[in-house]
Amino acid sequence: MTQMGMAIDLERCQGCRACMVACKTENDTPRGAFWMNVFRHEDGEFPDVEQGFTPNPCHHCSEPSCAEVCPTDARFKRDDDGIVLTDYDTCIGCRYCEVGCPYGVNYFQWRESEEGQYGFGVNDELVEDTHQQLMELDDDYEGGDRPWANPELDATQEPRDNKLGGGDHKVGTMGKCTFCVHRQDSGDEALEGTTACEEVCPTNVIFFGDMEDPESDPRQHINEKRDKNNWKMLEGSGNEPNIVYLGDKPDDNVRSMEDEYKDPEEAISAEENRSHNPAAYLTDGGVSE
Amino acid sequence: MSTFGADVERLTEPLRKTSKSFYVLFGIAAVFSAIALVAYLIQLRQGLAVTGLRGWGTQGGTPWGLYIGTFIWWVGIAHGGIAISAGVRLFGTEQFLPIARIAEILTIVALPAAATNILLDIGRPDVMYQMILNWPSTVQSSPLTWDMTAIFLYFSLSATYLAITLRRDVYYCRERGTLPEMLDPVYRLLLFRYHPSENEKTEQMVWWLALGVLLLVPLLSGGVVPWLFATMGMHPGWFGASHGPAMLAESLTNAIAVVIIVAGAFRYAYGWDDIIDDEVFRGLNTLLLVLALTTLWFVLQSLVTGSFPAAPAETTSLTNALVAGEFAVPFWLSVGGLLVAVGYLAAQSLQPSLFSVKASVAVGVIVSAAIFLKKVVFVVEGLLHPTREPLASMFADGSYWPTTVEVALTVGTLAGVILAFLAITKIVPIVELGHLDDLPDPDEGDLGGDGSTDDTAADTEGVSA
Repeated sequence: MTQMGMAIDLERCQGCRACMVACKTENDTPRGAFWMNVFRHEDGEFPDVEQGFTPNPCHHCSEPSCAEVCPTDARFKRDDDGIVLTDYDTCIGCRYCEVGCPYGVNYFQWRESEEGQYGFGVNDELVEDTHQQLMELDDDYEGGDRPWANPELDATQEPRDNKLGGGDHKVGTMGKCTFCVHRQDSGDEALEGTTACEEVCPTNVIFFGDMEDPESDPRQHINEKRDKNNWKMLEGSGNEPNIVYLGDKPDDNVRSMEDEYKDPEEAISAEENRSHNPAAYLTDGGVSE
Repeated sequence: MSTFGADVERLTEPLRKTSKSFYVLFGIAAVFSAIALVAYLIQLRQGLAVTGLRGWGTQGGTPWGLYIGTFIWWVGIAHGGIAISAGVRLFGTEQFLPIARIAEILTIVALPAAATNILLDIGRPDVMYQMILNWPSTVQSSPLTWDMTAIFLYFSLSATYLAITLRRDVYYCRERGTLPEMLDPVYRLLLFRYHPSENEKTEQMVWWLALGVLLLVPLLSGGVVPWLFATMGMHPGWFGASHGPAMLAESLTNAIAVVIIVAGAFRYAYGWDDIIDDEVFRGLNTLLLVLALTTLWFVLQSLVTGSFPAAPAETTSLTNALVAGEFAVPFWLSVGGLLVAVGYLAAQSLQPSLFSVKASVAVGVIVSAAIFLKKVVFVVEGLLHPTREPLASMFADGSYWPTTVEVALTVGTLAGVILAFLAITKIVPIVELGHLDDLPDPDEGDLGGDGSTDDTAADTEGVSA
């Protein structure tokens, strides 16, 4: 029995959110979708305020309630490695999995992937220039209308023998963290057993591996820090999550440090404003005209 | 016997004569249905991004909203049919027979309206058939599959009930030539292999069907529909055992309220003051009073338990949101509406001079609107106050406001139902003939024994027009 999972060492996390960016580039998730999300929160009153960071990917539960409620078996738990996946071909987009998940990690594809990608669908000049340059620089790149696309995501996965990974899935279906299933099934030893978020983390917060195997990275790390606190999120929920946190559990009185995440609509209007204000390009590496 | 002939004439009048106000209402409903169609095309083309729905959590929204709230509302209305029919068939409340068919037609149009709202809500209507393909495995765990199953059963039984009771009436009316000739193929289809001798069997069948549908009511509105939410242990506002009975009470309240509205509309439109008489409305008002009080009693339960200092933190914060927070306006409008209705219903029951059909219909509208608000708030509150601590505090606060597309589609399902209802009144007799004194013996060759309406008088249409 294999059950992939993660040990997340909160004592090391600095809240840089590089994992969120890595996940987005790896999985082509659209605006407003954070398959990996790092909460930034604080607790206490001035001057005794403590800040904390808690990464919250899909917990790939042993008893996933999202799969239980699915009316088409599109959301399912893979027997081989316990990864919880979505079959985009049979998903009817009822969003019951999102409703039935206590962790808030499901992200619906509200619009066509082309329109959902940052910088696309708003005729942003910068994006179009970059696209043009990309075509000139890279002979293998055939252009196309999906310049953001990670080609590895086109692969199909067992057991459904269709595309189960990637966040650029079709409009009207649900997506979430797949533990980079395209890497696990790639047949490439360098990629198998890794995830984008784990790989990019500058402080080695994330340990990905088989939670049933005492020799695996996460289990060994948990063992190394066995004198520290280790806990699971909403452990009493009955979902039996497979993300183990090391370090202090956030208090029930924590406050989110963000009033809100940027709404996809706001991202679109920000991009539109930017294309009318070339000087703004300077702030993100563009060229002022 | 001769009164039978005259009454059949009168009760089938809607089939032969169409007033100007009918066309006006039909036109208005058609316009709103067309607007809804355009709105749906926009939604299909641009994705559900055109709605006010968003993910709960980091997107600070609610994945279910107006569509799902409206879905529950229609399911509730669908119980109007059985509430009346079961009374007539199983409990001998004969005085409701004149509105029995109107209520059954309400069921037949309300259930597809409920299903339509699910269709509007899903992102991939093109693969909805997957629900049927995967039924054997998903029915074991998915409340949404349970819902689909129960609604399908409910619709099948109700449609059968309506069809077999219609056959007898259509036969008698057709024999008397009181049906429009243009629709004769429809009637011949409906009367496929009909023989008057089947009436006795029909009576037995409708008794059993009424019982069957009646048993499905607690399973549907007191069971699988609330279980969609009540089984979700992660959402404090939803989880609990009381939602079953509470929603059943709300749904039946709504059903009776809408039956009053529709019965009032027919009485007004066709001047049927003697057919759908005051006693029908007085009876319905009493029923509505009991049901509305039950609904309010459940509201009281959740307010007391939710605001008591010992309540869990998440439940307290949700109760605060309802009583004095972001949901306070729709919540108190809803409760206020029910209180006003209870006030009038109690007053007219104690002081009969206060009774009027107009006021009863107005109360029906208030109650139905109040229940609608309550349903939508219920769906949204659980998702804007999702999950448990410490996760709940880490997410930013959410909000939801429906967009024009959502409103247009919600109004559109109502317009579609009105349209379907109006069309049906032009096809089948909408008052069951059984309420008249004994129908003529089907074995008698001459039905009425009244020369003016025998089989040869085929052109009654011309006569009455």
